[in-house]
Amino acid sequence: MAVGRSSRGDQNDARVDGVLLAVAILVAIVAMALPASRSDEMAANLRSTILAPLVSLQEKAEHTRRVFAANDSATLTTDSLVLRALDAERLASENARLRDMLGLGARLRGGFVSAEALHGPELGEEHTLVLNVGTTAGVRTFSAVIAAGGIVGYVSSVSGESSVAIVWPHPDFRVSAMADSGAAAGIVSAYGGDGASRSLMQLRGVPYRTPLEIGARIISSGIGGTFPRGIPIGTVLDTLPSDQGWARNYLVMPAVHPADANAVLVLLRDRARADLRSVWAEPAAAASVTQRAVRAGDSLSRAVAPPPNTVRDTGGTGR
Amino acid sequence: MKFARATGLAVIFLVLLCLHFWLRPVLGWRAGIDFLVIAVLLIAVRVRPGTAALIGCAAGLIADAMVPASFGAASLAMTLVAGFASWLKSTFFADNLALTAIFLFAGKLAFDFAFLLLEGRLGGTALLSQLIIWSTLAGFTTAIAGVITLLVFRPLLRTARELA
Repeated sequence: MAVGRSSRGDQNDARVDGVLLAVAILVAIVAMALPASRSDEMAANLRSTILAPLVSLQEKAEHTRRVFAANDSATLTTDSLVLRALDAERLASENARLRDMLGLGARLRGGFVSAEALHGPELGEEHTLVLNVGTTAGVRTFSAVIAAGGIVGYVSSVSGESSVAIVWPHPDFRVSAMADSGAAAGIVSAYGGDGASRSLMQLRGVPYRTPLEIGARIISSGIGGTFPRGIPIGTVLDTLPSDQGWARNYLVMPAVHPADANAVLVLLRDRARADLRSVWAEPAAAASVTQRAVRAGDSLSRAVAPPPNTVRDTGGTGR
Repeated sequence: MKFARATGLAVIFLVLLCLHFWLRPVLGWRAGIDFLVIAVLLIAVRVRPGTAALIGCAAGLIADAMVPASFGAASLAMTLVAGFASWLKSTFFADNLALTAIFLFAGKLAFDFAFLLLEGRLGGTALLSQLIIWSTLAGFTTAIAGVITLLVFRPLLRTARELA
């Protein structure tokens, strides 16, 4: 009897299951068969009533995800800004050097060609520069290579479209020099030695009767035909011991470090005998020329691409 | 007794429902974890097929309400999967982790297959890539999440079973 009851119970359960399954399937099929407007309406009703907490939960989740994404984006933007800021420092330094070169070119008023200097990475090439100008531009052997600060070196060999220059730390480099006042003359070459002194010069053979003060400016004397008179070489740092009783030697801080010379000017031969003291002796005029050039450049860039949400500056003197 | 068991299962269902509508959007995976399938299947093997079908239908309607463009498709697919899972029955898989994982993987694939066919939105290679790549991946993630869920809720599920 018990087995029979159990069997009947199972049958009833199976029947109930069948009915519930059929009802569930029917509900789902009816839901599928509803017209779009009715199904949309029903879905909207469900979302605004029973499912409202779940919809709210999902909205918060989406918001959280957007916050995470925005955080990632902000981090990327910050990284980019930091990189740009680092790059900006380098650009500002290069810009300043180019502005100086621009000013020097304006003050020289011709008689030179501008060149890009490529630093040789190989061993033994650390004291040479490859210039992208050659004989077609008027460059000759022993043409002076200068930067805004002063002497860089001179051309040692030249071909049609390029040339090689040795820079002042080269063991063969010599330049005839004198004090800015014209009081003392000597020969400047690389000091050599180890460590930091490798980046210094020495002035040798200064007559004993014409001592130089620390800080005195040393310029090219124009003797020798390579460097015109008046190009800055450096400033006196200290005295050096001398083995000759009739001459003094000095340690000189160079005006230009060759590693910084990426854009240079090569003086043509007709300027070799010129006196260029006035070129470096007019800082005010030089600054004025540079400022005019910079203002003109800035005005041009503003005129080409005006910022969309800023008031345009109409009072600039360079416009 | 039955009330306590039903309460336990209801708690699990609600927790998984909340995870489906909170954790899933936060993760935003293309092959996302289907907590709704986990909830339906874990409960389906512990109730009778008729009840399982009704739960599947309700869970499907919830999913449909969020995506009205294919209203009813998830409901029908979930009803079929839940009914079939319950028919396969509990004693076999209920507490075996490996079998549960396979069961959830197959259940998710079956649901996606039924849903995509009933929805009729995708066809050709798009349907095939969805089924073979994304549904398979979703099956894996769902199976893993389901096993974790089972481990977390094991005491509650065991009690519910013993009470039954």
